[in-house]
Amino acid sequence: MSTVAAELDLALGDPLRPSGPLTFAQAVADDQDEQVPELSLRALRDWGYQRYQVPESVGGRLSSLEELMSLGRVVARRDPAVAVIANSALAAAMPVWLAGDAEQRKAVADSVLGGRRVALGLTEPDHGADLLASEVTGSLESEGYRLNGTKWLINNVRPAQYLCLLLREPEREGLRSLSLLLVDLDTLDPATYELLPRIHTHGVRGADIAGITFRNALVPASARIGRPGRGLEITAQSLLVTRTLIPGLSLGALDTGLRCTADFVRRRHLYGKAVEEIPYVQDELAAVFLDAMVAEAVSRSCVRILHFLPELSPVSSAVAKYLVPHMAEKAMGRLARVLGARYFLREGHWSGIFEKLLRDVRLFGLFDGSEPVVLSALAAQVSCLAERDVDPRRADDVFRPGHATVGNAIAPGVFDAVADDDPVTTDLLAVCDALDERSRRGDALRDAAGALREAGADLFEGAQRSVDPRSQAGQRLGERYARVFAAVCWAKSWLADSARVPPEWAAAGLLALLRPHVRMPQPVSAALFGELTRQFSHQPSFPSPRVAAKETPAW
Amino acid sequence: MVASARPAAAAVSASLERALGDPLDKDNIAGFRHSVEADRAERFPRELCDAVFEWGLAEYLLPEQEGGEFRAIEDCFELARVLSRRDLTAAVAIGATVLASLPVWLRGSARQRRAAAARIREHGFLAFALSEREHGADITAGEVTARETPDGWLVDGTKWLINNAGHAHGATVAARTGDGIRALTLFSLSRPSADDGRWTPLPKIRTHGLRGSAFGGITFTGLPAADADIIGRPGQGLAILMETLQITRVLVGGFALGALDTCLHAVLAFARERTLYGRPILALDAVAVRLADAYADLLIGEALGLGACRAVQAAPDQLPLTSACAKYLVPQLAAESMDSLAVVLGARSYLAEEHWHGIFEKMRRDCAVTGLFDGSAPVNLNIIAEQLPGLASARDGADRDAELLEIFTPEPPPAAWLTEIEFELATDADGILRGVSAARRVVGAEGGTECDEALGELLRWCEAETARLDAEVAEERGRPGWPRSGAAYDLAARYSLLHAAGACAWKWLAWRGHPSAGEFLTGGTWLRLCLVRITERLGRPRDDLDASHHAALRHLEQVHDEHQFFADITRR
Ligand SMILES: Cc1cc2nc3c(=O)[nH]c(=O)nc-3n(C[C@H](O)[C@H](O)[C@H](O)COP(=O)(O)OP(=O)(O)OC[C@H]3O[C@@H](n4cnc5c(N)ncnc54)[C@H](O)[C@@H]3O)c2cc1C
Ligand SMILES: Cc1cc2nc3c(=O)[nH]c(=O)nc-3n(C[C@H](O)[C@H](O)[C@H](O)COP(=O)(O)OP(=O)(O)OC[C@H]3O[C@@H](n4cnc5c(N)ncnc54)[C@H](O)[C@@H]3O)c2cc1C
Repeated sequence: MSTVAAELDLALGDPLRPSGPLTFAQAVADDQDEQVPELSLRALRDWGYQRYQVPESVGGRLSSLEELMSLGRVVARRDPAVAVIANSALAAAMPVWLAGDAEQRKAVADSVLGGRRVALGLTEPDHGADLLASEVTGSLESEGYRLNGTKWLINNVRPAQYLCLLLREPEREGLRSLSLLLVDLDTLDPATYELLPRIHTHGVRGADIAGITFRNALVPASARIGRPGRGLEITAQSLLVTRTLIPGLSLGALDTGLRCTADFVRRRHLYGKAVEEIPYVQDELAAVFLDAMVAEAVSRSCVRILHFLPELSPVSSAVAKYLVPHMAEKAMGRLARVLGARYFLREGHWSGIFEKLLRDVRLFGLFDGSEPVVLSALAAQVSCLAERDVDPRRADDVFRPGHATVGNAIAPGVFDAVADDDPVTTDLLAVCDALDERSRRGDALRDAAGALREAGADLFEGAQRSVDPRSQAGQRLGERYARVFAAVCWAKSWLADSARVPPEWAAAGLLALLRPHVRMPQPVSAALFGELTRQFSHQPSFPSPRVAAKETPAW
Repeated sequence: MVASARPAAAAVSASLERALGDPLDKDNIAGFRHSVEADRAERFPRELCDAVFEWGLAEYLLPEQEGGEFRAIEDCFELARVLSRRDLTAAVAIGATVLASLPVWLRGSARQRRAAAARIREHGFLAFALSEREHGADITAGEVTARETPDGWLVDGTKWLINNAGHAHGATVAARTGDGIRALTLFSLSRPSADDGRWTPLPKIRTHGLRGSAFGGITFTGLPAADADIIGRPGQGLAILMETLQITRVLVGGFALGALDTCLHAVLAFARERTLYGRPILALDAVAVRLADAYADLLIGEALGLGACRAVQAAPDQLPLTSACAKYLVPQLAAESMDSLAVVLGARSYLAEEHWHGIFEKMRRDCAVTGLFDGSAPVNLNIIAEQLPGLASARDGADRDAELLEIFTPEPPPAAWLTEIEFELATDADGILRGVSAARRVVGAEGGTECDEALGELLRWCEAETARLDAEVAEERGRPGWPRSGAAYDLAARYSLLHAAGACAWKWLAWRGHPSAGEFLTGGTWLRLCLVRITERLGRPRDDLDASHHAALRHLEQVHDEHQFFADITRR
C-alpha cells in the first residue's frame, strides 16, 4: 500500500469506533436512512481527498493511478458508497482529462478542488450498453448545441456542477454520430432542464442517483470535448481507466468482509470450541484469503499497465473489471456462509457492516460494463494473441516490485480503444519455464505451471477461430482469456518478488484462477489460514501504523 | 401444482393463486408494488396475510384430526410456493407458524393440538423458539431453562433470532431441563394476556431481506408452564426437533422455488422487451443461456423437492439424506440462478422500485434467508458428509426400485399421517440416486433418437461420477477432521447434485407415461435439460445451447404468455 494511502487510513482512525465519519456504524446508519454520507464525505474533503481526483498537470495531486487505487480501497474498506461518491469526480470527468482542452481541464479541476461533484451521462432509460442507440440529441445551431432527451441512472447528477454528456448529433451517422459535451449545470438555463427524482438502489444506498431531461437546453459549441463525432471513442478510452480502477473498491470491501468474518469465528463458540477450529471454516477462510491475494495482484498489474503499457489496457481493463469484482462477489458469498445468520443482520457484529458490503460489492460487477459486456470486449481482442513476435520486456516495469510513481498517466493521446498485441500473455511459455526452474520434480508449482501451459494452449487455439464476441462461445473465450491473462500476471508478479509468498501458495493461486472450483491441498490451506490468523492478530482492525505502512498481501 | 397427485391439491393452490389476483396490479395487496412498499417501510404485510387467511389458508395448515385439510406435506409445499411468488415475508411468517405447530401435530396431546388449531383459525402467528444469541446450530448448548417446581415449571432466558417474535400469540419453546442428549424439552406456550414482564418481546432485529418481519427475540422471566404444556415427554425435545427439522427442511424449498419463479418471470419479461443492438436481448446467447439455465435449476429444485416431500410420508428412511440434500441444494440453486438472472436484468437488478416495481431486488434479498434457517448450508453439508461413507458401500438394492418409482408418480395413493412415521437418523441406502441407473436402463433399451443418445450419455456420466465420488470418500474418510472439512463438504455438495439427478430421473420415469404429461417431458428433453445443468455443475463440459435449451426457452415464453407457474409445464 502506498504511503499516502496508509496516511489516509491512519487519519481516518479505527472504523470500529462507535460513531464518527467513516466508521462502520456511520456507514450502516447512512445506508439505512438512504442518506448521502455527508459526514464521511466531509472528513475526506478535510483530509484533501479531492486533490487526488485531479491530475497533477492541472493543479491536483494525482500522479499515480496505483496510489489512487489504494486510496479508493482504504475508503471502500469503511464504506463503499462513500468510495463511489468520492471517486466519481475523477471517473466522471475522465473524458475531460483525456480529451478536453486546457480551459475545460482547468474549469473542472477548479470545480473538483472546490469540493463540487462531476457526473457522467451515458445511460438512457431504453439504452444501456448499446451507446450507439443513444437518443439524447444535440443539434449544432449557430448559438451552440440544442439539447433534448433524457439521461437516466446518473450518479451525482443532482449535486454536480459539471456533467459530461454523451449525445447524438443528428446530422452525423454511424460510429462517428456521438459527441461528448461538458455541460455546466450552474449556468444552464433552469427552465430548459429538469433533474429527475432520486432512484433507490439495492446497495450504495447513500449515493445520489437520478436522471436529467433536457428540453431545448442550449450550451455553447465550445463545450464539446474533443473533436465532433468522437464521443464513442473518448468514452471507450475513459472506460479503460475507470474499469481498471473499480477493482480497488471491490478489494476494499473484501478486506473488511474477511476481517469481519475472521473476528466472528474466533469469538463465536459452538460445540464447546471456537468456530475457527472447525476445519471447514479454516478451509473457507484460507480460500478467500488466497483469492484476495490473487485479486490484489491482478488489480495491481492491471493498474500498472495503465502507466507502463497503456497500449495493452483495452485487454487489461476488461480482465480487471470482469475478474476482480467477480472474485470478490464470490468470496463475499463464501464468507456469508461462514458467518451464518450474522451476515443477514443489519446490526450487531461490527455494526452489521457485512450485510451492507455484500449489497455494495454487487455494484462493481454491474456498472461501467457488466460481465457479459466486458467479456465480449475481451473476446473481440483475442486477435492480439495471434501476434507472436512480441517483446515481453515491454511489460517488465509492470511487474517490477515497488510502487509506481510516474506522472501524467491520464493525459490526451495515451490510450487507444484496441490493443495490437499482448506482451503479457504471449510470454506464457517463458513464464511456465521459469516456474519450472523454481520447482522440484513433481511438486505443486510444476503441476500448476503445467495447468497454465494447458490453459494457454487452449486459449491460443481458441483465438485462432473466429467467434462472435456476443455469442456464448465468445463469452467463454473472453473468460478464458481473462483467467489466463490474470494467471500470467500472478506468476510474473511472484517471479519478480517471491519473498513473501511460498511456492505452494503461488501454485495454489494459479490454480485458483485456472480451476476455481477445485479446492487447494489441505496443508496449503492450513498454512494460509495460519498466516491469516497471524496477520489478523497483529492488526484486528485498521489502521495500524506498523502494518498499514508496508505492503501486506490482501489486507 | 406441479406434480400434485391429488387433483384436489392442485385445485387448491390454483385457487389461492387466483384469489391473489394480478401481481402487477399496483393496487393489489398481493401485488409486487405493495410487497416492495411494505418492505421499504419495514412494515409487516399484515393485509396480505389477512387476505390469505380469509381465503381459507388456516384449514390447509390443520390436520384432519382438527377438522382441517392438511394431509400431505406436498400440499403445504405447493401453498408455500404460491404465496412465496408474491411475498416471502408473508410466506416465511406463516411458515414459522407451521414450523411451530409441527411438533404439536407430531407428538402433541389432543389438548395442545386443539389449542394450536384454535390460534391458527384466529389468524394468529406462532413462534418457533429454538435459537439463542450465543448458540446457533449447537442446539443442545441452549441456555433457556425450565425449572421444575412443586407448582409446575418456570421458564427463564432469552430466545433470539426468532421469527414472529414480535406478534406471536404462542410459541414452541426449546428449554433445558436436564443434561446430555435428553437435555431439552419442548413446551407449547401461550403469550400471557397481561403484559406482566414474564414474556417480553425484544426489539425488532433489522435484516438483509424480509425487512417487514416481526423478527426478534423473546425473554422469558419466570414464565409458568404446566406438565400439560410439554410436547411429548420431558427430555424428548431433541428427538422431536430432529423429526420436525427433517420435515421443515423439505418445506423450505417451496419458498425458494416460489421466489425463483417470480424472478424468472420478471427477467424473461425484461429480456423480451429490452432492445439492444437492434434486437430484443433475448436474441443474445449470453441472455438466452442464463434464462434456460435458471429454468433448468427451477425444474431440478422442483423434482428434488417433490421427491423429498413424498419421502416424508412414503419413504421416511430416505428422509435423513434427502431432506438435507433438498435443504442445501434448492436454496443454493435459487441463489445462483438469481445471481445469474441479475446479470441479465443489469442495472435494474440493483434498483429498488423499477421493473415490476423492484420485486427482483426484494426477492433476491429475501430468498437468501432460505439458505440460513432450519440448518444452514454448512450444517446440511455436514449431515450429508456424515452419511457418505455408509451410502458408498450400499449402492445395490434394486429391489426397492418399484417403491421409489411409486413415490414420484403423478398420482400417489394416500399416505400415512405424520404421527405414524418412523423417523430415522441416517439413510442407509440412497434409493433416490438409483433413479439414474433405472433411467439409464430404460433409455438403453429404447435407444435411437438423438435425445435418447444424449440422455444415455448423461446418465452414464452420472453413474461414473457416483463411482468416482464413492472411491474418493473411501479414500478420504479416515483423515483426521475430514467429516467437517472443506473437502468433505465439497463432496457432499457434489453428492447432492447427483442425488438431484436421481430425483429428476425418477420423476421422468414416473411421469412420461402419464396422459397429462406433454411432449417436453415425455420426449426426454426435460430430463436432458436438467441433467446437462447438473453435470455442468459437476464439471462436465457442455454445448452452449443444445436442442433442450431451445425447447426450454420456447416453453418459458409460452408459459409466461399464459401467466402460469413455470412449474405447470409438466401438466401439459
Ligand atoms: C448504481 C448505479 C449507478 C450508475 N451510474 C451511472 C452513471 O453515473 N452514468 C451512467 O451513464 N450510467 C450509470 N449507470 C448505468 C450503468 O452503467 C448501466 O448498468 C449500463 O449502462 C448498462 O445498462 P443496463 O444495466 O441497463 O444493461 P443493458 O446494457 O441494457 O444490458 C442488458 C443485458 O444485455 C446483455 N448484454 C448487453 N450487451 C451485451 C454484449 N455486448 N454481449 C453480451 N451480452 C450483452 C447483458 O446480459 C446485459 O445485462 C449506473 C448504474 C447503477 C446501477
Ligand atoms: C431471518 C431468520 C429467521 C430465523 N428464524 C428463526 C426462528 O423462527 N426460530 C429459530 O429458532 N431460529 C431462527 N433463526 C435462526 C437460524 O436458524 C440460525 O441461523 C441457526 O440457528 C444457526 O445459527 P447461526 O447462523 O447463528 O450460526 P451458528 O450455528 O452460530 O454457526 C456459525 C458458523 O459456524 C459454522 N458452523 C456451524 N456448524 C457447523 C458445522 N456443523 N460444520 C461446519 N461449520 C459449522 C458455520 O460457518 C456457521 O455459519 C432465524 C434466522 C434468520 C436469519
